[in-house]
Amino acid sequence: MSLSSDLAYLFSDFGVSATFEAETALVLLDTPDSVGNLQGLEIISADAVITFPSSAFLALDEGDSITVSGKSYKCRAVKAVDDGLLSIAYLKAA
Amino acid sequence: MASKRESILDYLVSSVNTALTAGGIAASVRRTRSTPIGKNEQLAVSLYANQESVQQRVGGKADRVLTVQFNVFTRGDEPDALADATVAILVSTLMSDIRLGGLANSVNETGTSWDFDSEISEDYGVASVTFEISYITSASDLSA
Repeated sequence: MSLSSDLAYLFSDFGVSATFEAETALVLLDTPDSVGNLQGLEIISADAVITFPSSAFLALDEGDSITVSGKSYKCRAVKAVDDGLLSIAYLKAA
Repeated sequence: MASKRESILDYLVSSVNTALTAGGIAASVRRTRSTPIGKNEQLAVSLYANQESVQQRVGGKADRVLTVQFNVFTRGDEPDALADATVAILVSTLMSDIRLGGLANSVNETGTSWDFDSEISEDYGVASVTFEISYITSASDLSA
């Protein structure tokens, strides 16, 4: 079994369905709140980040629409991580 | 009895709130906000008293210049553009009533600055508008 085919196991237990254009794949969705600071005031934001096999959404890029676990998002940025087999996309609610 | 400074700050909150409502802006001014901006807040307006300089006059009076700052927080794409209508209302409200209902001698707008940040999922920013408010009190009594 190749390393890339092992990737499927990473998503089988906790993955949620994501659809971008005609492609659907399991992704890991994290939705933590973050805290920023401007002018001495704390600002709480709701973040959304997905981790997915890079091969699943090769064309995903800034401004694209994607549905994750039934909710619509706009993609803010995509970056490959480590050896490039996995990617992370930063999303905001559409 | 409240000081003239406190009366001025209360007057600013009241007059700006009235103007925001009339302008269709869904926000109200909060004084000296110290609690975090919640993740569902798209627009928030805060008023801070930054500093006050004092010059003593002969005759027991004191000339005071109070610097106040309105912070307009907006969340979304192009936060400075989102703050624009609120900033315009702030300036219009104060500069069309420079005596502040008789509490002050004059109001001067001294500037606006913008500060931005970008979290993972969204952009937000704060537009800060500052004003200098000149008023006179008794040298020994802030309320008179």
